[in-house]
Amino acid sequence: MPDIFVGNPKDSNFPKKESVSESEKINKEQVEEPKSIDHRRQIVEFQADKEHSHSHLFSSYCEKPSGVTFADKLENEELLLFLRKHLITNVPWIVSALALSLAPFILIAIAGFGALPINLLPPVYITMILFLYYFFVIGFIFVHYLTWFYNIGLVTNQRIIDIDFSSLVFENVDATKLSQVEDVGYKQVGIIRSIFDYGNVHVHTAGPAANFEFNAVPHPERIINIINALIGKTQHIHV
Amino acid sequence: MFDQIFDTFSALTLIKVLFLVVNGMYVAFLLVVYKQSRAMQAVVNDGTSSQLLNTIALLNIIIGVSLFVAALIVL
Repeated sequence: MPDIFVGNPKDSNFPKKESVSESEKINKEQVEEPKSIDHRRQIVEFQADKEHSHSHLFSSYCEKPSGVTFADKLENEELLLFLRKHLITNVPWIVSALALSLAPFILIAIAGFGALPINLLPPVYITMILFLYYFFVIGFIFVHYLTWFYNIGLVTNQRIIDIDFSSLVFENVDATKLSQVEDVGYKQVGIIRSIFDYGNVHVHTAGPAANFEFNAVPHPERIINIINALIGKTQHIHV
Repeated sequence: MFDQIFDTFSALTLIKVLFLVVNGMYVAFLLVVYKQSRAMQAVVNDGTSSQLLNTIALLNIIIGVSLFVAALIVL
């Protein structure tokens, strides 16, 4: 059972088994039954999904990932959700990269018909220019991948952290405590988003703290279920 | 005839200089990419994946410098 949802037995507030009599136990269960059932349901649902627990180069949704660390981690803070944009959101730049990779072949084919004076340059020059060109294409792919890879949303048992990284020179890290979270919801608009099950998750915070938005993350409904369970709500919120 | 050879030579020299300048600027850009990749790894470390990305960024710089040296010699 994940310790995020369960009280610590070493904690002084945690009820000790020996000190509770049978009648007290029954009374307590009767009083707390609805809440505990809800919590158990959340725990069971949360534990059931084992297929998303491994983080790798292309993972966009991980539950309790192993081997992931982040800066300014608090004491007893445990990472519960690790989010990136859905892999399908990379399709536009992948298509661009493919087109760029094929462009020289198209140019050579056109030159074959005599439309381009490509033979004016010595072969060694053409080879070197092609090397540089494909090196640019590799750089283009790498920078886009890096941007996707480091745009991360984290949900821990204490905080929600949003790490934005774009255009290589912009990095922004926002964090808020779960106690500051007022509302959470998601928006999933469009056929593609419905088919691939991804959408934008909004986290509204109290006071001057900035609101959070995890864009195009997979399984948005599951994410808000988990956050709701963490902040003590159980109902689903659709924006 | 000499004029034609001279023109061709100067055009190729211009291409070589242009190639080296562009390649040099690109290597400088790759250094920024490598620096940022390391900076982001300090913020979030995704285990072996982050290390692999750093290695690829470093490899890009090495290839860029190699291409620069090769252009300097070959062209």
